[in-house]
Amino acid sequence: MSVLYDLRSKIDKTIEEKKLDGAAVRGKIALQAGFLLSFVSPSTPDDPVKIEKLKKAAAAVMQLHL
Amino acid sequence: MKSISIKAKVIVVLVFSLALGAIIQVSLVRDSYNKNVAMVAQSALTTAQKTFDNIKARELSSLALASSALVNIDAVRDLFAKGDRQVLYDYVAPTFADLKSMGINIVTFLDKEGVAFLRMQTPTSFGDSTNKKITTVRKAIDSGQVAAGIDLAKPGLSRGSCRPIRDKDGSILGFLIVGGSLDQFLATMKSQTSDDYIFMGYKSFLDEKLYHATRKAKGQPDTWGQFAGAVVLATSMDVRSDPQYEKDLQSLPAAGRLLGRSESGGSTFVNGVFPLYDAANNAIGGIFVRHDITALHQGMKRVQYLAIAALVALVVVLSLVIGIVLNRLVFVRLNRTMDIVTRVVGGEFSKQIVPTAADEVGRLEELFEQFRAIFVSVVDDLSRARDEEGKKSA
Repeated sequence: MSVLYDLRSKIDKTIEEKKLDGAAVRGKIALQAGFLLSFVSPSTPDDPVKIEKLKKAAAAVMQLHL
Repeated sequence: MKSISIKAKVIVVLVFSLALGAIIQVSLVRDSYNKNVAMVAQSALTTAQKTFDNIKARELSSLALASSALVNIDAVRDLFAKGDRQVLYDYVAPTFADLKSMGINIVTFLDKEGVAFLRMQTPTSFGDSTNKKITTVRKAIDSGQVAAGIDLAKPGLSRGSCRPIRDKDGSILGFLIVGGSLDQFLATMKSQTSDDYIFMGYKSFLDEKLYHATRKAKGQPDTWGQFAGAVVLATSMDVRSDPQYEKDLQSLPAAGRLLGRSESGGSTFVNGVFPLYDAANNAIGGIFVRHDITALHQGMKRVQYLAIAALVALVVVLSLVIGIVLNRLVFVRLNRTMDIVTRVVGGEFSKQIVPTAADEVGRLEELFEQFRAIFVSVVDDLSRARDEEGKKSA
């Protein structure tokens, strides 16, 4: 499993736990990170730039520090 | 980049524009007020000058009548020609008493050279020359005709008429002065115009001791030491020890001069000064005029406050109205579009952007809906291709 997919899973889990508006939160994170979260799969290769951007977006949008 | 909403920018521009409008409007009101004040001040000055001239003309006319009546009495003329001072005094005394009751308290007989023969007001004082001291007398002696005017004589300001006394052949026997003080001038002017006045005269025309004595006798304030070269002869208001009065008297044009606005005791005034001339047209002082414009000033202030209050209310109302209109027409719709775009990017591909009106924002909504459709189609294609690739590799 890639780190990117792991991060995506943690984001999805937090959304469910906090009962947040999934589409809105994922959309904001995707717009900030610059790629669609739905395209991140277990086989998605790790890209350090994408990983950093996703972490920053999650922190900014949902205060989730990955 | 720091985010500043269009709404805030529009309101700032609106407030700025209306504030600018308010400044312009207040400036116009002020300008109009200043023009009105200048007109009122000029009118007050002209009215005061005309009132003074009218009263002077009326007073001098009555003096001329009185002097004419006296010199045309044969007995007066004969007694004067005989040079019998006491008999002349006794004969004129009843008439002089009548004249005094009318404010005419100077009746003086002069010889041909202007030497005092008999002063009905001070019978024991005679033998002095009046020719050089009193302009009206000098003018009558020089011309051999009636002269009348205002004089700044030794004790103060007076009005007088000097008429030749002629024998039956028309030869000049002497002169008769009929006159009085100017004390009632000020009260008459004030009652006619409601303005306040200060009569100022140059010290050079006055005798200091006589001035002090006259002021004391009349119970009027002595202002000899208050100014360098002038004194207050009569006033209807407080006079400050201000050298500006004398400066204002310098090089005074015949039409007078406006002196601007002043405030005192919560009232606003416009001020002016016009020259005081003697019988020979020499400037012997000036008359300061103070006209109350409190009502006009307060009216202007009220208009200013109303204009500012109306503009503040307009700013508030317009800001609210424009805020509400902008919110409805633009911001709510933009927020909705942004929300849908975000949700689509977040995976809610079925969410559609429906144009809400056929305007600029509506066209943007339409454009975003087209973009959304393309985006969803691309994502579908990519997902399908990735699924097929996954199945093949499996």
